Amino acid sequence: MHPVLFSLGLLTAAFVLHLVVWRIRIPSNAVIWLLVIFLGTGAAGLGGALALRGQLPGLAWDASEVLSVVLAHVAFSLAYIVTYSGLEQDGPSVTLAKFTDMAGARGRSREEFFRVITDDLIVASRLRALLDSGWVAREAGRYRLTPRGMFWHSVFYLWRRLLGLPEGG
Amino acid sequence: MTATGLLTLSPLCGLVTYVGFHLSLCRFGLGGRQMTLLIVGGFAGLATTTVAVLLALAALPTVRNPNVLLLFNDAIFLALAWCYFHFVNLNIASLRIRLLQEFHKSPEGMAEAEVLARYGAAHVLDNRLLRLTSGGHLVEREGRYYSGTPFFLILFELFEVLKRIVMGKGNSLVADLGEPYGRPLSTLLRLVSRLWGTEFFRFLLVGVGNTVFSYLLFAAFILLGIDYRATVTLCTVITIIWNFNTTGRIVFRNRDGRLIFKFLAVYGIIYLINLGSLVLLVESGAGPLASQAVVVPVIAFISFLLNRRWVFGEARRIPNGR
Repeated sequence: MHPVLFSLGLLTAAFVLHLVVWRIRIPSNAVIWLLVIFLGTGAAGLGGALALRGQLPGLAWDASEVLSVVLAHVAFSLAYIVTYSGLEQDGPSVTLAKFTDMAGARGRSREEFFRVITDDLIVASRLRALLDSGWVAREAGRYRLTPRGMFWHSVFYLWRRLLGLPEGG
Repeated sequence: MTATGLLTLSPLCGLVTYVGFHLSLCRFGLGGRQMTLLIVGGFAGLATTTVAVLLALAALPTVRNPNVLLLFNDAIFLALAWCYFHFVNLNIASLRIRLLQEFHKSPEGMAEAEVLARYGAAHVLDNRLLRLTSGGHLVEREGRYYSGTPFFLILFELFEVLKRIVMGKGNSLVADLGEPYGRPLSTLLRLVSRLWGTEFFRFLLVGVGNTVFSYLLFAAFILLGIDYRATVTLCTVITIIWNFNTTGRIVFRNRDGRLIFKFLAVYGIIYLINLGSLVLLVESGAGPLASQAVVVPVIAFISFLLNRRWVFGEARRIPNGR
């Protein structure tokens, strides 16, 4: 089997498994689960193919072809996982664009936007997501960065400084 | 590095180029908006991946399916590039990353009320409205906001489809308002009609229409029994005039017939770029079909820019054109 076809097959299998798990229950720490499902499926599929290559001549790949399959699977999996964050939380920009479009020629005033951009829907939901991912901990009613949150803050801060970007959000 | 290694690692070469190029553009003040810098960097990375694959293929003449390998490695690069794009975008637009910044400023911790006071819904809304209006996605007139370019609407609809497949539900923020939400078909029609308002979309559609017209014309002449050499010549002349009219009138809303000479010059430039790139790619070992598949989007974009800025752009500044 050509490594390209095998890579596409692995990716499809991982996506189907992800859909099945999500139909049963959407995990609270979804990104970790996605990493486990996609990378686990990749490792299992590739391990199986390497174990069977003695019996199946179509799987007799050289080292560069194996590396190519790994690179493709990791790249496509990560691309999907970073896209997933947009599915998990409704993004304010796309929501504002749609909400404005729904009004047609009437348009929207700034006050009307507070129907879709509220503290609870937009900010508090992100706080809950940060708690679920373990980047932030809540002690005595106050939120603090955990060491993991501090690490990710440093990564983003460093890159923002390198690019010369202002504060985002 | 061996040719096989170069072939395998070509997407990573592209990614390194992308990141390096983007950082350089940002650091040395060569750029404008982040989106433009990210797209320019992406093209540099894609070009690097393609060149790396072609160099490797030239050294490996017996490799199977060179076209598939070229497209596969370019696709891997695009997936990696999407991850980098998203990472930069998180720095710009992610609420979660902004909240991390706020917590970092307060080592003693923050109560939820303090978080909301420092970065609540009003702050988020003003940030987004500013970004959406400055990008032309929303238009503000007398204190009211109206839809602008449909980029975020298309994103919304794409995410809506994916959300329904993966999460089993759509965007809860607007779906639960009790307002008309838009059926898929009417939403699609409205999107197409909005897209028709953008020059690039009209350029793409008119391009497809012109190609169909050109082929039908060719077929008609052949069926009438005209020699194929004379047919090609006739078709070329008629097609250029036809394309000039459709591109000018429909795409750029410009009827100035004197611009045909500039239009012809762009035709010549595009022809040379197409031929040169194709020769380069095919001589490097890629098949002509995959090579043209890589070249077509690039020359379509260059053609659009040249026509927009140089051929029809100047005259468009004259009120109502001519």
